[in-house]
Amino acid sequence: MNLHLSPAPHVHSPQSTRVLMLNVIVALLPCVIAGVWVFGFAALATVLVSTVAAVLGELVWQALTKQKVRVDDLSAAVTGLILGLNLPAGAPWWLAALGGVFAVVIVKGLFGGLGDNFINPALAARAMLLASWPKYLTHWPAPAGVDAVTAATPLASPGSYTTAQLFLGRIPGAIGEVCKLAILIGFVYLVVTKTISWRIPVAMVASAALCGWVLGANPVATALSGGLLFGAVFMATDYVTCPMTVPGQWVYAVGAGLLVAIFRRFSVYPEGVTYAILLANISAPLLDRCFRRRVYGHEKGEKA
Amino acid sequence: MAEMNTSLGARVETALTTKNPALRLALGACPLLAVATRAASSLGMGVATACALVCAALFGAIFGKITPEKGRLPVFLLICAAFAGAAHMVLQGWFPAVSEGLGLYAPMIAVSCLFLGGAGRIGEDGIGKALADAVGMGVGFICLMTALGAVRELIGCGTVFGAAVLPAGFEPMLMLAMPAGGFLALGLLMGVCNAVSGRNKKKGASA
Amino acid sequence: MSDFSRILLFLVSCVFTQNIVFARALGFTAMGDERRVETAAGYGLVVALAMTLSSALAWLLDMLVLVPAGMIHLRIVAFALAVLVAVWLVEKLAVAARPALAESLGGSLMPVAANCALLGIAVLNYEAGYTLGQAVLSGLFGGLGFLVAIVLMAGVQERLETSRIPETLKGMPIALISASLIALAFMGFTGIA
Repeated sequence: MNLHLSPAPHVHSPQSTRVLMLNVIVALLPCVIAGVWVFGFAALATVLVSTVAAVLGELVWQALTKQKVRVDDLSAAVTGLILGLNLPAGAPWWLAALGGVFAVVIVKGLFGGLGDNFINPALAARAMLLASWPKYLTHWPAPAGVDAVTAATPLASPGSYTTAQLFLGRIPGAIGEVCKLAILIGFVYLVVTKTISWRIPVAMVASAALCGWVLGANPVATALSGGLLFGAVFMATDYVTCPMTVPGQWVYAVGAGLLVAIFRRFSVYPEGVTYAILLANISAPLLDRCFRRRVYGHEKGEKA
Repeated sequence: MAEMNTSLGARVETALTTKNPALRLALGACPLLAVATRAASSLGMGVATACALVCAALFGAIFGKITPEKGRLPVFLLICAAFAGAAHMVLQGWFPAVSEGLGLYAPMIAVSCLFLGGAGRIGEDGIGKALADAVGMGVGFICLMTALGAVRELIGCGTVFGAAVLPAGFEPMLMLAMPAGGFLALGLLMGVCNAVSGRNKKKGASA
Repeated sequence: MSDFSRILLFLVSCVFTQNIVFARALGFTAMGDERRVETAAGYGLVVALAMTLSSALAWLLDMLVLVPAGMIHLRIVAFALAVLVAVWLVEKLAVAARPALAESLGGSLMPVAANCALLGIAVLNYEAGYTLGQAVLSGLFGGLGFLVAIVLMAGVQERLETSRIPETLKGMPIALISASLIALAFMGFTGIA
């Protein structure tokens, strides 16, 4: 499958979309399982609520606007799942539900539906939740079995966790982002099934680690802390909101990594992956403009 | 809106000369978007702007006749600024709460009037017609600002005109009080208005 | 802190953290329909230039005329006048230096004066109590922030051209909703400068 297609006109065939989305769901399952292992069933409840809300939201929106109901393409389920995995375990149910509805209706539906949104729905919903109810999104429950109610994330107190802890995920954080092993399993699955290319995740993590190192952070800890790996694998790679051209994707990924390093070092929030990817999404049309002409010309030349 | 080759200057000019009242109202609300976060103070801002608009339209109609076409916008901007200044002084003196809500956005009343008054067309109509148009736009603007402020106050802090109307467990959505929420609320309000007026038009056409 | 790093921080603050469009909600009216990145960039440059000039003019008017003459109640009119003169100067400059650019912006640049970012920056400078140098920098950097905002918006609008946006939301409503989502993303800069 050619992954550098223009997203808007081409991803509308429900069959191929469903296969892609099914692959993403399978790749996310290790993260869900790891999240439940780390945080208990509260994590499962949060993820389920946001997923169900996103699917119901899409269903109701498409029915209300008299469109063909296409929830069976599973894209709303993936959006809800990714949003849920971005939340802290045990977030209030209404928070997860509102986030799911905001993602599929405001960020995607108002712009025309799948393929027409210019920004990643799950991430925009997370940014909305963080702006609206900051106390729930900065309150991280400790892993189950640890003797504390809340705890500092690795980004809030660097150096308090070993590399093995960071890798396996018995640390506080968002449900899906803590276990790097599970994310890597999902990444390998997505690359092997050719659902995504390795380019964006690898470039983004490498760029963040390198820039973080220049700004004085441990590169290994940078790569393994917070939501960097999860965001790079599952959100920065969204076909609809990343550039279509290969050089555009390189600049996009390296730029997003740079922004992650800058936000972690200087902003008021300990984590900046959400904002870094959103800003990269917003710049994607401009990046495509810079590289499109050359690529089109190139293809024409090859065919002739 | 479909033509791609229209230059930007011409587009801005269209925004200033459009006869579409809904679009003029929305453009007029943009400069005050950051501060229209509460129903009561938005109502105050709307009334102040409407009063300044009616006065500015009167003088605009008089001076618009004797200014060359290219000078109309500058002349009207200065007239609007003068009445925005007067409105600001009245607010400071008698309605300090509204004036505080406006904060440093008070001069933006002048720019609101520019769009509400259709700066590109002043002097084209007679005084009576210009005044009638200004009164209509002013009333519409008061309604729009109050609605915008009420929606943002209701969801953004759980009250309307300062009275708690939502159950005690409601947790306000802080985003609505921010510029991001202002853009969203105005965009959705415009969409709802378009949907309602579109449906009315269809009904009228079929009847 | 050195002067250089202080100016750099001020630049980051004006362009990103306190972006005049996304953080202060000023100047949106200009970007309602613009979908071409090139004209958006040209317009942004004109506004940036006019903002720099009008900041200086407004400061000079305030300090040299209004305050000594005790006419501070006329500040709004004076600032509007500064904006008009600045736009007029930029128009003369554009016609002299780059006739093609002036042409592409539709002949007269006077409608640029209706951009509330211009009046807004003059007021912001006054409220912050800036010196002349600070006011000019604030105008220049604020203008760059506007340029960044309008180019990003134009890119997004271009991208949305193929989207199946519902009829009732086409035009300004969807531009407002897009701006809302971009403003959310810009919140990531909070605290950087």
